Amino acid sequence: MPPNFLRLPDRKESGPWQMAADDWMLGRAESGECLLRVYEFREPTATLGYFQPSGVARSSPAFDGLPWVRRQTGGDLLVHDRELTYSVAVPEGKLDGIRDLPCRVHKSVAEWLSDLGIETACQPAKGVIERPGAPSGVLCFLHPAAGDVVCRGSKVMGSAQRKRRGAVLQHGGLLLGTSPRVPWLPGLAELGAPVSAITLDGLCRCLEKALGCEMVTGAWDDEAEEEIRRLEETRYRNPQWNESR
Amino acid sequence: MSPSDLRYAKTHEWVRVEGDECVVGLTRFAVDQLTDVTYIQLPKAGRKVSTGEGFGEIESVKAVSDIYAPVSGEVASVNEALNSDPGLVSRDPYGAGWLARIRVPGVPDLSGLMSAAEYEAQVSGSPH
Repeated sequence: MPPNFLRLPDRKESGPWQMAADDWMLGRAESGECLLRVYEFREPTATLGYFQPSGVARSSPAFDGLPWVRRQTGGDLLVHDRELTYSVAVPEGKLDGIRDLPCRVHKSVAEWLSDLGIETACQPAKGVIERPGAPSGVLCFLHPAAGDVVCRGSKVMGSAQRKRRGAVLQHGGLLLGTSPRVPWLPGLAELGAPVSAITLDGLCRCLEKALGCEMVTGAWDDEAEEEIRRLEETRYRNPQWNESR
Repeated sequence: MSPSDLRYAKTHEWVRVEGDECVVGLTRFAVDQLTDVTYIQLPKAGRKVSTGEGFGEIESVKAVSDIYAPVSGEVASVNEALNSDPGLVSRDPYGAGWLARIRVPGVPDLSGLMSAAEYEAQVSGSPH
């Protein structure tokens, strides 16, 4: 029987806070809980993949002054601006097919977008999208992996996982519109989609379908707030973490 | 099939004792879960590690995972070939794709590790 997932309330916060919240969720999953949330960033923010060198945050003049933070998940640089983001944290033993969860989420989102009249597809195999002027080998949305959501030749959604002590954090984003910080990436708006219909609640329903779960409404309690604040200060605002590679 | 001459950690590392060193790698089950491996970070020689401690990390196209030390000791060497060809770990997990050699003082304590049959039983019950 699929587990119930606790849906944490949406919050528009800074990059370090959001990454600390994801880290906290992974910690709770290590203790056996299943959690998910959908969110946006308070201001345009770059997040670097766990192994990316910190220099990629300075690899284009378009990134000048852009706040950035290192993620727990792998992959390439994301600019969270006109975008919806999600995180799922689950113990490995509680859900079948965790390896394929990115594809399941993407398929569910592609079906939702199709219902909204937006034709998308799941990328058949790993690829590279060339865009003149874009920093080479840096941007996640120029490197579609198998299963990522693409629309008219552009990647509009990707996901990545972090596995730690028997638990998995999966993080992903749906690109709604072009950010001036990454002018090489068209979002769904530029690709002709009615983005006003694409909401956090809709994305959450896609997660529910992909996970085959029931959602229970949760809250950020005092203990969570305190631990997230601690992680934010000690790790995600700390150069030792952000500049570690 | 998991080789019968190895011992296995529940976190999917294998161990082969060779003299006073334990050769450590990842199981076929683990690398199959990872799909395309893009990067492996291993500790420097000389680092002391304890059983169950995260001592490396592996990145695939879709996931970053910790690698845990299956025995306590001192890292004697790591497989430098993985720097230029991390895919070795997927192609030959029990041979050329080994990760590290851990020098163990005295007789290595393998009591917390599983036999091949026990490990097979564990992974056959794992959600895939």
